[in-house]
Amino acid sequence: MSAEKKVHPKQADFHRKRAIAFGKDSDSIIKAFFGSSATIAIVVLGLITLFLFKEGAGFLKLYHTSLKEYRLSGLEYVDILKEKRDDYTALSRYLTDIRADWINHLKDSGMSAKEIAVTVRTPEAKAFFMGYMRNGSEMRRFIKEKMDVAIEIRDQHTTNKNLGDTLANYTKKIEAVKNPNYILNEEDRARFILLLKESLNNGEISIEVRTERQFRYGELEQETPLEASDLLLYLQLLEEQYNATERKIKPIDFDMAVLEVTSNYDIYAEILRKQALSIQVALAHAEALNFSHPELAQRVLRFKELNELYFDSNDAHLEKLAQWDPSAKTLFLRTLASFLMGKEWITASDQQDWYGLLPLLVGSLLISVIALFFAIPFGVGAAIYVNQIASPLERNLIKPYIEFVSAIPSVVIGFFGVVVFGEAIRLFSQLDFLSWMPFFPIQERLNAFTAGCLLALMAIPTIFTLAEDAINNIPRHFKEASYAVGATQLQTTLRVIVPTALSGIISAVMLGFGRVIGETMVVLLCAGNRITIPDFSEGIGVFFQPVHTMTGIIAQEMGEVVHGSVHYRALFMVGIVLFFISLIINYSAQWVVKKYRKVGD
Amino acid sequence: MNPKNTPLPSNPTNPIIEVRDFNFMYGSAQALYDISLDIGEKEVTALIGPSGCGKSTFLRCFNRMNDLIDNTRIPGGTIKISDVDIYHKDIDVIELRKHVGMVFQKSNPFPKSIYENIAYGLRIQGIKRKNEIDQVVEECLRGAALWDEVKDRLSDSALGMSGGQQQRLCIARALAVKPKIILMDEPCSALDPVATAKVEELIHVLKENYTIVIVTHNMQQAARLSDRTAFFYLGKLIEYGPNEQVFMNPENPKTEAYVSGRFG
Ligand SMILES: Nc1ncnc2c1ncn2[C@@H]1O[C@H](COP(=O)(O)OP(=O)(O)OP(=O)(O)O)[C@@H](O)[C@H]1O
Ligand SMILES: [Mg+2]
Repeated sequence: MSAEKKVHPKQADFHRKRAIAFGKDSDSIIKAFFGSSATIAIVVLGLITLFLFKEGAGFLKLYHTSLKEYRLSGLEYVDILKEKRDDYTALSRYLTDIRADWINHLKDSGMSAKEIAVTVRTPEAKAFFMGYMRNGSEMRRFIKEKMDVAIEIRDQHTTNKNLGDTLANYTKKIEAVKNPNYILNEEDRARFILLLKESLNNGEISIEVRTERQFRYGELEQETPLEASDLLLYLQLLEEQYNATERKIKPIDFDMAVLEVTSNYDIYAEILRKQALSIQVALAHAEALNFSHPELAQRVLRFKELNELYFDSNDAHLEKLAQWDPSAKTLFLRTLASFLMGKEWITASDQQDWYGLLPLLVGSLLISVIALFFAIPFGVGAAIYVNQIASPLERNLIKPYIEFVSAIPSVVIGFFGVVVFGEAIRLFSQLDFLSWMPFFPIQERLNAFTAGCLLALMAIPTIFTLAEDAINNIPRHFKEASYAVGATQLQTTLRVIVPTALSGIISAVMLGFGRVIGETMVVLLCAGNRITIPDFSEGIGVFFQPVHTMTGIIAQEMGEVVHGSVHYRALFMVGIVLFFISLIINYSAQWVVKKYRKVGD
Repeated sequence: MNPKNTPLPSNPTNPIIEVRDFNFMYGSAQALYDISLDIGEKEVTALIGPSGCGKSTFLRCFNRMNDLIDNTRIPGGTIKISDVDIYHKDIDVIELRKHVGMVFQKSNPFPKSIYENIAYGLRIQGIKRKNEIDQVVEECLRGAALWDEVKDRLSDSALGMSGGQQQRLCIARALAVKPKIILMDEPCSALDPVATAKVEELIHVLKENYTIVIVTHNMQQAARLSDRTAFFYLGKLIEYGPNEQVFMNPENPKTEAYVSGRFG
């Protein structure tokens, strides 16, 4: 046997994986690369979510405390009082309007200024108008007093809490300094000098001590290094400061304090009773007046009716005040409700801050409705046109063009909205032949409509691209089958293409909605930023009112809030709500596609 | 071989489709060259040839389905159906397609119910009367030998049917608009032998009332089903004649090679 024959035959090529780097073959390297990218993305997303929830989480607790104090301090009671005052103010304003209209009518009927002045200043007229308006002062004064008391209570409470925090800080410091191993650092030196200087103004220390301190202060000012003996003095100064602060805390007993707010109930009832009488006297003078215009007379009648209602509500109002209980429990659920369903977003108020989501939510939704109203027909229509009807040349022109719109930075669109579009809409609404529209001319150039139209512009590319994809994914043979039985292009599109692509189109619309509701810059610039629930009684006019949005408020207020305050956390809560809305939208878009996908290919 | 110079081979006596010197181009690529043939009424005509030779293209010219493709051109030639030039500018393509129905290679029922699939052709013509539609649906399903299988589930989605049933549904759908001619592009290529047999049987019956042009890759099928067969190669019509001639006694060596299976 020859030597070669004994050699073990060469192993086949597949006996081992071929390594490229670090002993790994290409497959595992690729897997590691993409796997780690995906992991990083997921981890980052998770962290963002976590952060959002962490910052928002404290909100309910803080807000709950705030609402509890609102009740304990009697501010809630004052707000009940204010309801009455506001009613009266509204009535007075109504009357002022009547008077202004009366003067206008007189003017229109050709009276000279002098004659008018005489007519509206007859003793009867004065007794009616002026007589009515005089009736609020006593009530206002009463309420103002009560309000001041309640605010005072609350302020003292807040101050106490802050002082408590300061004391805690002092305690910590003193503990630290008491430690025999403690070494004074630069920060301590600065604080020491400051305390030393302040203590010189303290009248309670003896002359010797003062001279001594004065001397030491002078030395330290000259950059003399600190000595061990200073430690003792430092400690002493800290303790003095601690005591001084402690003295400033005037603990309040809510139960007692609030009595001052709720006292004088009888006086208030008497005020209301007298007011009612005196108003009735004023109203009686209206009989003697001749308004010469049926509409005005009508309004005066209406005014009288409203006043009757006002009187009638007195009892219920007083009853409500009597029933009010400062020690009633503030339910946690109520706190949640007053966030999710609160109608007011009032911050930096001297009485009570309200963080109600509704005005922002309604604003966001209103704008979205407008945006989708325009974006759906245009986006879907363009998608159908481009995919089904357009010639190749048109397709190559339109498609990139629409997609290009999404490349415009939103701030530019917002800017365009402020400068050009809003103004154009206002001018347009002032045209004479459009004056039959009840809400024209519009007052505000920046309103929900302006923002909605511009957002539509931003949503169109999203809807267009996704809807076009959905239509494009419809297998070509459906179209051919339809044509083959003699359908026209329109019939094919409406009866076969669109129904088959419907799930994709709906999901495109939903993602467009997600785009719209999450957009910030345009709404911030163009929506008018008025934080109120728009007045839906105006019909279509509601779309032309300024609103604020969830995204807008975060962008606007985040910069100026105190880190960790209720307000700060409220903004995070709004963020969480937005987060959930987007989540739901995206999820349901996917659900629609999955559920209604008719063509499984 | 130039069809222009040779007399039309064994033409049918009663042609319903007459093609003369027909050319067709996809953009700058020519797919059909100078095709001339006649297709007899109420006959089955098979188009055979290797992949890419232009059978489908030719078939789709009869109902102008190629209009849907961008950049197609007909540099010369005519197709007449019942003596009307279908590429004349005054032609109503919609009416033409009702006249010339089509069944595709891949069964393509709409994602609608079985009933609606057939009713579609009527609805787009604006027919709304329920009993009229009911009647046509039943007629067509019977015509496609499908009625007994589906009569109890007319409102179910057509996509839930088997492949063979779907293909017969597509035939039924084509029948609903009462065409004279039915074009079939490899209708059995995706079906199993049993389903194929059913469709073949159906074609056999339909032949009584309709003119059928069918593209197939299956030589036996062509031989079984058709009266005449046209062999295409590289966009040209190589040989056309009655089955006996094309399969038993081909004039052209290429045809001979192809039908005997010695051909790529
Ligand atoms: N939409 C199109 N655009 C451009 N060229 C096409 C198009 N459809 C077909 N062709 C070309 O035209 C020629 C004929 O194609 P056709 O589909 O008619 O062949 P076929 O005989 O039906 O083949 P098969 O048996 O594979 O179905 C081929 O070369 C093909 O590449
Ligand atoms: Mg083909």
